[in-house]
Amino acid sequence: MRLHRFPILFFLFCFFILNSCEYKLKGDYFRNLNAIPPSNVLITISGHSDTLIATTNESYKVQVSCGDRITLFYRLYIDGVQKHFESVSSNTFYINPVTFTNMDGVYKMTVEAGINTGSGSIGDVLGTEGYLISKEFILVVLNGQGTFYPNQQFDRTNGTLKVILDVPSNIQNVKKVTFSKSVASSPYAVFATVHGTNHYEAIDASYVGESANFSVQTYLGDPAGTIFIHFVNGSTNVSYDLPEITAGVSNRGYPLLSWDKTHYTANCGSYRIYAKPNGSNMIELLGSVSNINDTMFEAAGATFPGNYLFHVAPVPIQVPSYYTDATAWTLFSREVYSVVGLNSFGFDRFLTPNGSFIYYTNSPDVIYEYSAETGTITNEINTSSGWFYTFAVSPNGKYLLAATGASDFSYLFYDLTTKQSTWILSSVVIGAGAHTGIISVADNGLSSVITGNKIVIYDFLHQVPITQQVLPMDADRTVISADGQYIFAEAGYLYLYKFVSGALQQKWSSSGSYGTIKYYTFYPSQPSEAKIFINQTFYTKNCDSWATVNSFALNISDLRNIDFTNGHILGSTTTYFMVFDANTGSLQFQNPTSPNLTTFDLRIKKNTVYHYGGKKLIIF
Amino acid sequence: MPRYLLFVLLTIAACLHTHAQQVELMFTAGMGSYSMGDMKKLNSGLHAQVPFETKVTTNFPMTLQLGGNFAVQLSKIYKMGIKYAYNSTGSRVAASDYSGSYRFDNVISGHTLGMINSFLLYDHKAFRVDIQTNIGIVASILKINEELHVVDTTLSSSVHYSSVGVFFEPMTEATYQWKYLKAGIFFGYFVNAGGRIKNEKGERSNSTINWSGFRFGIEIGIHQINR
Repeated sequence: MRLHRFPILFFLFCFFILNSCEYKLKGDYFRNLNAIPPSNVLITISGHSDTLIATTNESYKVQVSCGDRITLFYRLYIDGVQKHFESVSSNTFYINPVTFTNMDGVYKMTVEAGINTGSGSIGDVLGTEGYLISKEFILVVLNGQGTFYPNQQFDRTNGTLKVILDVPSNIQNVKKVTFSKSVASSPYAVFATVHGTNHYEAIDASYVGESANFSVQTYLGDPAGTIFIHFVNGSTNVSYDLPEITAGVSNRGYPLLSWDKTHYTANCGSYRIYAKPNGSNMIELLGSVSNINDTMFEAAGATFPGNYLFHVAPVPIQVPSYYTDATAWTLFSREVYSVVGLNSFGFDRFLTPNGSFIYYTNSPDVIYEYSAETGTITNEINTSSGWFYTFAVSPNGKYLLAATGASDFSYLFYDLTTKQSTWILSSVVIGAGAHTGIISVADNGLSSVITGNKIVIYDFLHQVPITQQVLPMDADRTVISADGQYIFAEAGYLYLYKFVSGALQQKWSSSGSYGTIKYYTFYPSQPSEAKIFINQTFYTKNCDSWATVNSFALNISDLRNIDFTNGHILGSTTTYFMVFDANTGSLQFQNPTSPNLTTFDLRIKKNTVYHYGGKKLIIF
Repeated sequence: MPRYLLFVLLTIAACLHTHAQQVELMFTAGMGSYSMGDMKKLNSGLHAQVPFETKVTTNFPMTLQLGGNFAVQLSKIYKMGIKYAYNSTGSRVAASDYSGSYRFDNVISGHTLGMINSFLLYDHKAFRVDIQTNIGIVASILKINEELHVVDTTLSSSVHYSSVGVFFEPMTEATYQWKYLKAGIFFGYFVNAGGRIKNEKGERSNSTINWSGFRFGIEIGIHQINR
């Protein structure tokens, strides 16, 4: 029986031995890793500072900047109490703090983020290890804001402009308002920041009546009014309130501007006066008036002849950067139109013999005698037989000779002292069928008359022909001296003749290199002296020897006329007219003149410059 | 203990108890290599899926094979019998660092029971060489243990699976007899088919336990001399 049991037991034994030989696993894979704390971890709320002002129930994006680490979870604490926990797998997540506290107020909000170690360990990968990073924010909850458009009101009393903003009572938590202004396209500049509740007002210390845009920015604030967030803004345009201007003329003839005193006396420091000549786009700053109570300005030095648009602009005490000449012209001033010069007579002929009278014409049949002393017309010489063609006055104002037609006409010989008129047929003087208007008369009645290429010397006082002289070509002009002894005739060249023994004797001609002769005449008080302007030199010449008695340079392009009585020479350039001493050539006066006039003509007599258009300027 | 295994052992014991002619009882010990293709794929898949870096530290290595066989010499050249062998191998996917450790262990034990068909190839006196074409079944037990230890937390799971497959084993053995003792060496290749894994509920997967591989070793036993 035992022998029978043995094999069974043996095999059972073997079987259990075999089962105990089950393979035993061994081996490990150990990685020598280290967890490295992150550096420069930063928790921010996108688009917000560390002060988060929540006005609505909205989510805010939280960004955890931690390099290559990953945020595993975050906790949100408000005033130290955990309000939310959430597992995440991104460095960006959203929080909605108003969900946890909707009472207006200021809270301490802490965002705590768990980020992985980045070591790649089992714990790191499975999210069971990491670092806790936290950031504290100020949470300002401002709920229940409505919407409104800030509409400003303006109060213009007391010499200032007061900007007013009233916030409706249903708009809560507006705690701060800034007022700013823009003129033209200038950036808005804040001129006042006001803290308050519902009523806000500020004075614009730079306002002087201009047209401007005022902007108001409103800010919501915490109950204590220390933390602010921009809420809404609005802008309102304020219209002009500028001085009215009137323009007159000063005693000298310059524009005289006057205006209302500025309404903004607290802000205005001065006035600027601008002018723009008619036809020009250039704005000229003529001057300024520093006393705001002084509301008058004479635009001395204005272009004569000329007309202007004038602007008077109040200037703030502290001149803003946007206050330029251009903005002052367009936004800070009103305008007025004015013509330079006193009213005078217009003329197409203007003769100034020695003495106090001016002889001019501006109608076909009347020659006026005008006293420069009294400023009145003292005589009207009527050429009633027909419209006069031209006229001349003797150098010392003794006689007046007028040609009253172009052909087969009569000459009017007029004694300016006795006012006696004598009519002489032209056929008697220059022959039938001839025609002329080129005449000159001396103080003794002798006259130099040009007809074609012939110069005729005729004694109108005694009505006796004296002599004739043929010229090389048709003549354009003639001048006879006061004593009738010397005659200029311009026929291609300028010729000087002397009346000797009943005949004309040529004393000089301009043939040769004499330059451009721009003006010539005889000195009324010394008939044997010629006054001639060649190029830019004014000469006094001895008519017998043609020796230079005197000369001086005149920096002008044209010589208009000479007032021998008062010793003035009137000349002009393209931009100025100038008055010189007739004896020395020294500059006595100059004034801008218009370069744009095509029919420009000026004359001087005594202290006044006359323009043919009917204006005059008193210069002395 | 599986009942079929107990039955085989009892049969062998009964045979030993009889007065058999030209019977032998041999104990074998050797080495076996294992294909375990599906199981290795399982490890590879796991290696790729685990979020941290792991390594296969043990991958079904060649292990010791123990067993025995009982055969009867039915003719001069033919011998028939039964054999049993026990194989056990396994794999480990592991990782560890300062924060914790991870183990994924597979231990597979296989019981091979089959029929021996042996043909004499060469003999000289007491030395002989046989070739065998053995066939039979392989019953396997798969134990999977997974353990994760992180910080102060340990997670572990353990599941058992089983499979049954068939095998075909061509083998050559050389033996020497001296009186009642017999000793020899053998070398062969184990071809395993089937063997789909099923869980404790009997649900089968497409993966198999494949014991295919080389077998070699020594054997020693008793041999009955003809009378």
